[in-house]
Amino acid sequence: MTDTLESREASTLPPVELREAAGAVAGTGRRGARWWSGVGLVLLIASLGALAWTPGPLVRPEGFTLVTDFLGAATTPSTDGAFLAVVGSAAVTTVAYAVLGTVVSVVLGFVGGILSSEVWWLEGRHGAARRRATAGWIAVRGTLVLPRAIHEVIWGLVFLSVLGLTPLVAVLAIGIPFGAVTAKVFSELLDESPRRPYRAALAAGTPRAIALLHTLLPVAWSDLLSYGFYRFECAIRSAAILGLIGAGGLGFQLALSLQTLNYREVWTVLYALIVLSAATDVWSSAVRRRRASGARPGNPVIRGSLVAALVLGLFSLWWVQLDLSVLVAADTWRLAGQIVTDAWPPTLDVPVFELVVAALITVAMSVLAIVLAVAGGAVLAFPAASTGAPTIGRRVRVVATRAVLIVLRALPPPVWALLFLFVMAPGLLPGAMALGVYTLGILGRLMAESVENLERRPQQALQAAGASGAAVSVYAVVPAVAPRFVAFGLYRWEVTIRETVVVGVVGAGGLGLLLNDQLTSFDYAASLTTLAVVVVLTALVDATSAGVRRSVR
Amino acid sequence: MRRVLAVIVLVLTAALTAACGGGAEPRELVISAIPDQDPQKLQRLYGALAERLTGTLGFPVRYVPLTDYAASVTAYRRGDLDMVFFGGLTGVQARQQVPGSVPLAQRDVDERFRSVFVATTASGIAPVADVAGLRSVGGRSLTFGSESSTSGRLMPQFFLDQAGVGPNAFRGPSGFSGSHDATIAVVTSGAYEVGALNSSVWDQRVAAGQVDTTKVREIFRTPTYHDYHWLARPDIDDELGAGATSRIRDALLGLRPSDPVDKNILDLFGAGSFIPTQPQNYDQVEQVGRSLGLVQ
Amino acid sequence: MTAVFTLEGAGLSYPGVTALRGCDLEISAGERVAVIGPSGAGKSSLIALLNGTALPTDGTATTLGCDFARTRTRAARRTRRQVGTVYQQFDLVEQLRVVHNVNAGRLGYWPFWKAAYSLVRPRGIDEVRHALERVGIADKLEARTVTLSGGQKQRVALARVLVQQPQAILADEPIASLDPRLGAEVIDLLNEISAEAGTTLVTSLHDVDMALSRFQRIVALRDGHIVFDRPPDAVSTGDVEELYAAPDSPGLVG
Repeated sequence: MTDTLESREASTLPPVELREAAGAVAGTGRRGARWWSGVGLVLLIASLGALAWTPGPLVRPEGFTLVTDFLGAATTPSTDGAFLAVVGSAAVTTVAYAVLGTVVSVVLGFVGGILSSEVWWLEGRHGAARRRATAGWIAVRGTLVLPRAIHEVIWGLVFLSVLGLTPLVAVLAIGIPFGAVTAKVFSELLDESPRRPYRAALAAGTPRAIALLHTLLPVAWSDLLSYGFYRFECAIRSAAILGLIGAGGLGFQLALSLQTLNYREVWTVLYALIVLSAATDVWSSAVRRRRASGARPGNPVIRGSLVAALVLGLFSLWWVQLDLSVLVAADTWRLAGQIVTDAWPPTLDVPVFELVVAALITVAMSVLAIVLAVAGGAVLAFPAASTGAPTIGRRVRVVATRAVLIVLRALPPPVWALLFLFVMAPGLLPGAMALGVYTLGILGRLMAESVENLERRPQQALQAAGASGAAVSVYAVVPAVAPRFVAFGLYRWEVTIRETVVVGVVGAGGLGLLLNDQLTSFDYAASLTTLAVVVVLTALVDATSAGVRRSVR
Repeated sequence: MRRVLAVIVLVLTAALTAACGGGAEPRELVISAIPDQDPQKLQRLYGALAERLTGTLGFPVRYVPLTDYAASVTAYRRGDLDMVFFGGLTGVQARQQVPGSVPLAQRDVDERFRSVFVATTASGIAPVADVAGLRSVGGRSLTFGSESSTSGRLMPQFFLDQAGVGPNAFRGPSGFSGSHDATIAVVTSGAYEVGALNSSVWDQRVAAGQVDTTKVREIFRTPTYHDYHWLARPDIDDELGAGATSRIRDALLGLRPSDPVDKNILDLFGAGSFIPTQPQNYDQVEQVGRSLGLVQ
Repeated sequence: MTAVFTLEGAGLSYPGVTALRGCDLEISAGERVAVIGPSGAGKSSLIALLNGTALPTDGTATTLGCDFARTRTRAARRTRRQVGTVYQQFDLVEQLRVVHNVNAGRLGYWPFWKAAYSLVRPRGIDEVRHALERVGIADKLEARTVTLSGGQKQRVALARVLVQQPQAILADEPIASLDPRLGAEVIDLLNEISAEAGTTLVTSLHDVDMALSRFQRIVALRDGHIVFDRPPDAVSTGDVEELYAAPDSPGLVG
């Protein structure tokens, strides 16, 4: 993403950049970075402090036998023929949901990304027109927070009540929140693309849409596609979790076997998830690595992947028998209206204190999780990155570390939560650990990629000057990767906030548990209030992370 | 590039054709169940029940596997499910969402359903004789099963309330393990000192030697209440012909343990047989649900 | 002669920075004007006021009778189409082929579907080829822009302005990124193109000799205001020395 940033020379600053530069001097910079680190530290200390509320010892070694029971079953997964057939077909369903969900999210992300980009609203506008456009821009960006803030599972329940038992529920439950995330990323890609050609086209009287189409999209679209492949990876995991609400697929089988703690069956499903996860990872990193090294759409791997994606998309449509007619059915609209009337107006007569405590718990859990994930990811990213000469030892190290990362992210957070609950006191800690190790699996892999894509010249220069390995990492590697690691962590922080919903088992409380409780008692009006708090929280996290990223950039 | 465009057009056409291909659906009875014991067996072998009912009733019966209580109530409310084997609480919730729904049948065990409280031996909590004795659970950490479970949450919470142990009287917030088996596991691990679950699951696991009785033991068995039952939408007769509802009821009640096919189905439900039931049986559950805010 | 560009007391400032102040200028149809001055004098800002990419914060700027500050988007767009701009950094989309970058000059005349389809199959290839022939790189039609040299890129930018068929051409330091020989060729090309079609030409330049030898009128900027505005033969060596003198030590030419 960063390589599309234009190098801006002071001597040739046109007016708009002059103003930006003037603003930047007054705003962030070193002081900003220091301020944000302070905020981060306070948040972390407060979150750690929240652990002190847990009564009794935090860790209980005697519960470890239950963990070993679980781990022991890994060597003897259920291989019952009928069950394997069930799992096989569930795996295909999961892939199909993921593929279709990704398609929806890329389409939504494309449109939403343009409509929420700064270049679309502000570039080339002055005075009153600019002020009006700013209002529009903020409104669209604000609207996009809503779908992002709500977890796929909650979306699933909402769509279920409107659309009924149709595969479309899973497709939309993945597609809509992912679409909003993709929109955010795509708008940033557009905003970071070189703007001069766009500006030149506007200056020549080209309508905005056409100017964008001709000058920014050619730069950003391949990044969007490769991001789509990354989203597909996430969608596989998400489809698995969605199964928990009965959307079918591997998650459903996992939920069933987990209910009776049939670990051997659980492992069969987990192996299926691990294989799927590994396969999509390999595929999507192959595509993205080609992109990062500047390959064009004509590259055989990229072209082959696009064709494969297309075939997979058609197959998925056929496999899940997607029936879109339900979208226009009168019943659907009636039910949608009914939900709205049930939920509106939201309950205002809520125990404010309870909501605030729940929000704080959610924040604390997410902060601990993300700190754990970033720290662990930063440690594992280096052994997981294949850099340097491909010796056998290195290759073994890379494959082994990556395998660990894959397992960490292939096990859904509820499974992790149960395992951590076996050995920890109920409360924040097992929840944070569960989300932390899961996110670590995701971040470690992204971080490894960014280590691989690192500019080698500064390191080589230091090595040539006779610097030790440690000195090279301190002076050349750490400064280069640290901002990216922080940026990844901040992106994921937002996701972690919303994922606290799925680790209710740890008994930590929080907004997720509250929401779950309200939804199971069909109290839509109260749910809406809780959701509003989640949305506000997400918006705050969003603003914070944007501020931090600006200051470390 | 042109080829890519052509393929995109193709995909869209295919999708739209698929979308419009819905057409007239055959009249069928769509059923689902969220059983309390070994749900995966029933959910994966659901063909048996659907086939058996189709054979008796003469119209197609389709079984939809689901695991989530809220999801099944939602689907029922929407009309995607015609008949569901609900728990006591979810049945009440569903009846409220779809007024006029008819409880058709229950299992023989559901008439005298009980929950058990279990505790770690390390906690030193002694077995108690009556509901009032549950006072000793106050101040301990406690986990329920699933949020919407009657036997794993609603009724235990009710009896705790009767003993004067309110929702905030535990050490830390109470947990929701997600299932009866998970409750046994997390209590065995010591994560929670006390757990509440379905008595028949407990009895079965203890009998099968799957519970480490040196670590966890039963401390109280609650009084009886009504739990699971088949609930049918009021519009089944309109959809499938007059008398369809009572024919379905008869089919359920007619499952004989002596018949090997029927026996297999009853076993999947953990039932000796299905017996009649009536709406009043769930008044207590409804009342409790209301007082706990789980029924609006 | 009708005025193509008019500035009346025009100023342009941002919080903390004043780029232009009190500029009065009138440029008539067919004139060929060079804007000179030291770095930071406001040359780029002046060009920006003329093509409407910036609005004056004081006074008024009028382009082909249109005051961008008081004109609705659609009408402003019609005026913009009549003004072609060439930039120092060419402002081409490097990822696209040359033909698309040239076509970018007339996107303002195309409906959306045509513009979109053109990315798949380029429209109006003949005119593009003709324009590229005119700037001397006819063979680069299908080339990917990123593979071109700086001089070739600036020629693509000129071809882009050619297909736009504007009434006025603005050039913002068009040769600052090129070596002197290429620079002279590009300036000559700009002058020829303008002369052929009777197009008004306003170029900002830091090469004073180039400005004096090839333009009819010299506008000198310093510290955001116009120091002098006269024909090249009326510009003395002293004028130039004073224009480029270091601010705090007059007499020292740096």
